[in-house]
Amino acid sequence: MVSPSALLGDVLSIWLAALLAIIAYRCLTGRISIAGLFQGADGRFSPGRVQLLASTLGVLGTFVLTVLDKHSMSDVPDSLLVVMLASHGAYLAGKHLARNRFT
Amino acid sequence: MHTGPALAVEWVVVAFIALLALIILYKIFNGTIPLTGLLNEPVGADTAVATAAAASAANPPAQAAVVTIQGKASLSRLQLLLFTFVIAGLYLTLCLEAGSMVDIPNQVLGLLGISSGSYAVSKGIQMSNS
Repeated sequence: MVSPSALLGDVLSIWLAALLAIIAYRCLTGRISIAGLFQGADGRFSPGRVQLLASTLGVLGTFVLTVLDKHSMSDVPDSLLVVMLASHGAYLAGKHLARNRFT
Repeated sequence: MHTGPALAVEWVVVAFIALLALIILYKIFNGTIPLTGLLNEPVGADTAVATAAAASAANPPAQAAVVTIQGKASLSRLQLLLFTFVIAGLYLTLCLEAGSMVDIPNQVLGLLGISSGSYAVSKGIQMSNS
């Protein structure tokens, strides 16, 4: 007989996957708009946004592969934190400067 | 070994959480809980009013409808969403494998903290200039 905790684990896994699938599908069909994702405050193309998205996907990919390989979260390299800090710091600094320039 | 009452309470708690999760998912699916602006930055009030007026003038039936005004996509929202889903999913997977709650190391808390902090600072920059 299945235990309650095992059943809850399965339900939550399916729930999380279904929610992610709904969001991804709606992004693809345009019901959740991602228009202007790479536009800055001035409406022009923003390299800072591209680097943030690229570093985010890179860090997430490395993180997922490391955790799935070691079956533990404790072996995540510290260098990921440095990359994240640098990338987000650059993005926020650029955003702050751009906003001040156009206001 | 669980006693009878303890097992009954466990099933009630599991059924409650599972039912709540399914109701939320169903309402998201049929649109009762809208996700339309999930990844959009809010536009300023003056822009929203001007855009709604223009939409109503161009399309009179829109006057009776709720006009949804969206800003452009927000990268800080997107990265926070991705980090939350990935870390929650992996944590759930590891817990199910181990059969108990596993420790979350400081590096992972740091990653989530940077992601959330960046989102908060980004909103702060927007608010300070609006």
